[in-house]
Amino acid sequence: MGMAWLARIWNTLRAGRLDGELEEELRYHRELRARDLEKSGMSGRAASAEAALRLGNLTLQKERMREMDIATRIETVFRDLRYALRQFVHNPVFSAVAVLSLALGIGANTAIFSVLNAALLRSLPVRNPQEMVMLTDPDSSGVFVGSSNGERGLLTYAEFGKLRDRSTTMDLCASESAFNQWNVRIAGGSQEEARGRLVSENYFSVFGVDPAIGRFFAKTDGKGAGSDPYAVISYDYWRRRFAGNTNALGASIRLYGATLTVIGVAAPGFHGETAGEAPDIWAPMMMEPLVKPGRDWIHEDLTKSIDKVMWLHVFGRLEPGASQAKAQAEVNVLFKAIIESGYPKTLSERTRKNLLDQHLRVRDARTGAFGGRNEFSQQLIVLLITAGLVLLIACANVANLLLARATARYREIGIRLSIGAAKGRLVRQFLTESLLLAVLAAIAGVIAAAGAARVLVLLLSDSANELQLQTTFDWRVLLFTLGITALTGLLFGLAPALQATRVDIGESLKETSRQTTGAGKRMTFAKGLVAAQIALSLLLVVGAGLFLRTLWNLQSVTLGYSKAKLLLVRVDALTAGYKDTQRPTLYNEISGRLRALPGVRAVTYSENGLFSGTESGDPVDVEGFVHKSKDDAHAAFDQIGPGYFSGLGIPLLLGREIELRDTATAPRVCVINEAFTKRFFAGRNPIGKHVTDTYGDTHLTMEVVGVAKDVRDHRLRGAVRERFYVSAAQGDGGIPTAINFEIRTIADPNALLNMIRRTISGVNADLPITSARTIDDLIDSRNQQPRTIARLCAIFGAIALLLAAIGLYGVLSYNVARRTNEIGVRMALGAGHGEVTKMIFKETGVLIGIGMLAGMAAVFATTRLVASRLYGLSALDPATIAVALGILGAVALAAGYIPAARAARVSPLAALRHE
Amino acid sequence: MAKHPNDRLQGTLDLLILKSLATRGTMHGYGITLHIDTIARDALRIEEGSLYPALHRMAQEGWIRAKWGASENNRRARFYTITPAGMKQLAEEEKRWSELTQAVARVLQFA
Repeated sequence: MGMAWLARIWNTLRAGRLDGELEEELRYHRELRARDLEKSGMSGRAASAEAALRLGNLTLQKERMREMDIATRIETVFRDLRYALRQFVHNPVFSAVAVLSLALGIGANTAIFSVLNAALLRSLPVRNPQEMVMLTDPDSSGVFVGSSNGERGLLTYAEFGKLRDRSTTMDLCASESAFNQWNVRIAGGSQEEARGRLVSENYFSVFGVDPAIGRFFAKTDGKGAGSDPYAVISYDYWRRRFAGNTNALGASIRLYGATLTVIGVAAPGFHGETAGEAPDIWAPMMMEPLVKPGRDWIHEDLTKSIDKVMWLHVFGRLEPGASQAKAQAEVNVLFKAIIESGYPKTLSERTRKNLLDQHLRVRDARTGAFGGRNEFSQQLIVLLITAGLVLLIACANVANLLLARATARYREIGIRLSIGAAKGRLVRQFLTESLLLAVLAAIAGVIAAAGAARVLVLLLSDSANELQLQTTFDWRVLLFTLGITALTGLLFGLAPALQATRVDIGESLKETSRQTTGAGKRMTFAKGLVAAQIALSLLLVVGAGLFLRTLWNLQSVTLGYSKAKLLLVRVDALTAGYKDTQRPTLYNEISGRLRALPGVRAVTYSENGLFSGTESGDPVDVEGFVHKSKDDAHAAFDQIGPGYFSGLGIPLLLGREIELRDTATAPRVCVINEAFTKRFFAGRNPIGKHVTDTYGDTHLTMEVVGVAKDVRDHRLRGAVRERFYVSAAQGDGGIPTAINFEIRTIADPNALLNMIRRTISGVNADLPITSARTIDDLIDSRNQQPRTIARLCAIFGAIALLLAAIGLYGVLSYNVARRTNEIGVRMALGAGHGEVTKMIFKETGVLIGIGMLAGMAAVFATTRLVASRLYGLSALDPATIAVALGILGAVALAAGYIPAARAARVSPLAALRHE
Repeated sequence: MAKHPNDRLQGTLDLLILKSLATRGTMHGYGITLHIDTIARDALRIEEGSLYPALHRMAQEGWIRAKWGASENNRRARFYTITPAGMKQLAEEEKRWSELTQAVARVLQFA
């Protein structure tokens, strides 16, 4: 009989062959009938006519058979489903545990994958996204003022304009790389926050996005600075802020120095070109000088300075027939010409040669731009693997549960096989059951995943800047979920199905055969599964331990100054119209007023602040330091206010700090850190020596007046960089345009925030406060993603432990139950409770030992893959591994204790009667 | 699957086929026709063509087994054999049939 079901599918697929066979059979029938009729005296012709008549309608029979093939196939599928459902209803606990643990695994995987999909895989919802390329580096974002070398991360407006006009392979547009939290006034209302971006006037037409209502910036716009005071808003913002009302068109948006009129709403689903950032408002780039008063980055005289304002991401749509390689070749030829004429003629040959060594790389941009893409995807992949392992462990459990049930049905299966049931059909019935379990779990999992994905996005985003990701359930996620569901169904269903139907019919029918070979094999298989669960759990627990300790190490890094009650408030003086000469006075005035507030202990300021995300660095010449190669002396620097070190509590090792007297007219001075001293002064006394900032052809020489202790101000990992601090009043080629105030308070700093805001507004109501956060908050947001990884891994690890413990408990309990009479005999023959317990524990121990050994092998093989994500410990940290082994051992022994204790309580009499 | 309106008739055909195979062993389709004709002495005529869909269905149910082989005159023919599951089915069909005929007989007797 064989695999009847497969044969039926084959028949259905090969309807032609089937028809042929039927025809042959019917022809044979007709010939025999005609022969017999002829024998009874009919003429040959009449006989064959009568034979055909008796046979009836041939086509109808064929049709009937074909229908039957499809109908019976569907019918048996339904019958199997009904049977499976009945099994579930009979075993509600079993079914609930199986569905829940699988739902957890499938749900977690789906949630993580849908975030991965939203961030990395989904094409932009634009026309022909495969034609989109990017000329800049998605990992760069912000505004870089200075010079660049090698591969260019961002472009200036002038460079973009020239490339756009000259390229024949691409249609180019630009978008501001920084993502802004704008303070806006809508239709004359009060100030509110909106996220926004400046984009070139052809942005929407190049990307190929349609307006939902209204229009986009047209080619006729963009004639000159301030010429097109329009804004386009996103569909979501339109629904949220304007309740989807068409009178949004024509609404005015006051944006710093610009007043924009809303002319259109972008198509629903379009959230800009950068993953994770969904602008509410797009404003035309020509409005930049008005939106950012005092910072005109549109009118740039390329030949005036070596400083470039690099702030744009440039995107291109490949012309028909143009390849990415061709576009890259062309754009580099154009770019070379632009930079060759883009620097002052007076530069020294060396500087010039250095500056001209720049090129562009053209990247695929069908999925848009995403800064930190690699980092983000690596973290998600770590999570996906972790969740995948949990799913595997859950699968092993369900496989074991199904196997135990199949063994309970051992005799039933034997009987069914003996009366001629097809083995394939039984296997199919088991698989129907497991696939149904998997599908139920998938449904529960997917429902949970929708919420979980949103929570995951929240967990992965910075507290101040929520990641904007649309984790919709698209075909890719659907395919992924279907795939893992089918895989899990087969994974935990196939083995028990094959094992269960490998039944010795004669053996199964013997009433007293307890220790059948089938059951024995099943135990080996089940124990193998449990050992595998222990191994995987160990890997997960070690992984969680490594991440948790990394997080702990990161959080307990000593900064070199106190983190307690330290607030950082950033104020943008340039936007409020302050000139170079006015700014030092302004900064000192604000400091003074803040210092006078009750509850404030100390106030100081610096350009880059602490953990703000902005940093400065330049090449230096140091008195007495001999260069070994031309670019080997580089240092970070900051421009600081008076009393910076005492205000923050950073000890000075030598000399004095920057003071009020270090004004623009006083001699240039600087304070250096320990790392700087060690590297460049190597044992010499630096006080009174000179340091020269050699940026481009400008040389600023300062006298070292102090040495400060090394502190961590921008990075928690890695060595402390060589750093020098200059007086903000003297500046390093200009006075800082925006400044960070470091405010140390006596009580909770957040309670003072309103008063601080009022005080700054009291100095000048137009001063924008662009950020106000505690240092704990700033550092925490740095550690947000490692923390999320660590927490989720810890949760997954705990779930894995629980599932493995359930698995171990189940298999040991079953084993004890199976051996009840053996234990009874042993006890009747004089074995004590202790000996029986020991026997069971020994078996448990062997099982755990094998699992742990395999787990250790997995740990050694894989944890080094996450070494780069760890901090302050090695991937094979002995303490972490020891603790993991301890936890796992304790959980496993606890799971093994109950069955062992039960075995010891076996009464010999009862056990033998059981027989 | 929805019950066929002539369910009873179909059941009768099944019963006849199973009974034939149970008593005579392996047979091809024409052989089964002849056997039923002989036993019923032409009182019960089955439409010969409808035999084959029934055989096909019963093979799918696992009641009978089909196998190509050489016939008495050395032609290729499909032979059918009853399976243990078919024997069980036969017993059930026989029981049901006798219950039905007894019921009908009673009705005819006392009506």
